[in-house]
Amino acid sequence: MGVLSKSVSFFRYMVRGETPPDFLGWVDERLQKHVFLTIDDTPEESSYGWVDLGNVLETEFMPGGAHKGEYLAFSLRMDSRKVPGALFRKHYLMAEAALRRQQKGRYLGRQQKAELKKSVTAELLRRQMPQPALFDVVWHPGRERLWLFATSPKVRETFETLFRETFALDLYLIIPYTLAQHRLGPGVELDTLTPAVATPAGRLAT
Amino acid sequence: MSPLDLVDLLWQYRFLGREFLLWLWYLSETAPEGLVDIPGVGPVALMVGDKIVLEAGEGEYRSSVAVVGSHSDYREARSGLWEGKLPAEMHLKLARDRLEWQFTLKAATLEVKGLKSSGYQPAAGEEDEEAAFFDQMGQIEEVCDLVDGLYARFIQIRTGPDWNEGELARLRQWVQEGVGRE
Repeated sequence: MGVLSKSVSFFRYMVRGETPPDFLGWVDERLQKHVFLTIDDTPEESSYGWVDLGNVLETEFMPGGAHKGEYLAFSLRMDSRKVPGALFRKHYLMAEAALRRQQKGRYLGRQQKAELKKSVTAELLRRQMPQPALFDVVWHPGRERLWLFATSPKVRETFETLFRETFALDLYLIIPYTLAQHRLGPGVELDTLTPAVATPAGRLAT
Repeated sequence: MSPLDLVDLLWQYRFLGREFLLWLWYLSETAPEGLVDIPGVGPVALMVGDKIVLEAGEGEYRSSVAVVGSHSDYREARSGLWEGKLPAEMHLKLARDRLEWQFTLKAATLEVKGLKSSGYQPAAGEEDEEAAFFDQMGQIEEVCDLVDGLYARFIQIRTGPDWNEGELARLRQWVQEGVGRE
């Protein structure tokens, strides 16, 4: 999901923590260290890492490649192999029939079925090409802000894990609670708030 | 903040986001000429767009309804409010000077979905991509500043001493009038 799309969706974060004096050089080095590694020629089921902004093929960070004025911009690439349900079913039935022939028509036990499912899935996964997906990330260190252009909670979780591993900085998802604290300071009395009731019927619903 | 803390905070303060969206809806209909003053920003035109998702309760007891229509006739959504539901997501339109933005704001995470800016044209050529990036980020930052400014105003009122007797009382009256009850 791209920052340059005509219609954009995003989660927002605050990024805080100590950074080294050569901040931009450090960012280049950290991104390269956690760059995306392809699984096209390996049996792995999934892989994720950073790539150049919006560029699915560019898995090398040139020095300064992620710097755009006051922003840092790069993409999260997530590749995964998936087996379509119909394909799995066909191959499972084929494998099941072959196994039953081997054991002279005897039905498969629960354990055998589970093992067969596992081996058929593994074999099909190995033969599937990984599907790539890109999600842009824009970071404004001067304002301690960051945007992740994604809508899925799974992508959000992967991003948060990788960002923390890469930069070891504090990353706060902006939600009503964190934004209230950010705007009003830590002294704001949020802890005593309880849900307001807007209607007589609401009194029953909450 | 650990992921566990985040889940707790999301759950515990879920009502804040829902109440914020309700307050925006109320403000869009009651602010003089639909113009809302944001401290440090100035007047901004605020309108509810063509979709509101309302929900009540939590977890397995949660019920929700999506209402699509024009902003002047949200009878079903108003009935939902009367029944105790609150907005979980809302399509909003904001305008300032000659710029206009529309997007859907989600209550739980304040996540922005489908943000479109009027007058923004994605660059055609590669040489324009850099300019398009800065233009797009400028628009995104402006919208985020407006949402944050509105939220800051809401949270100040919400945590202020006059919330119960003042804004909440007016909000209740607005909900009641919206469903034709006195």
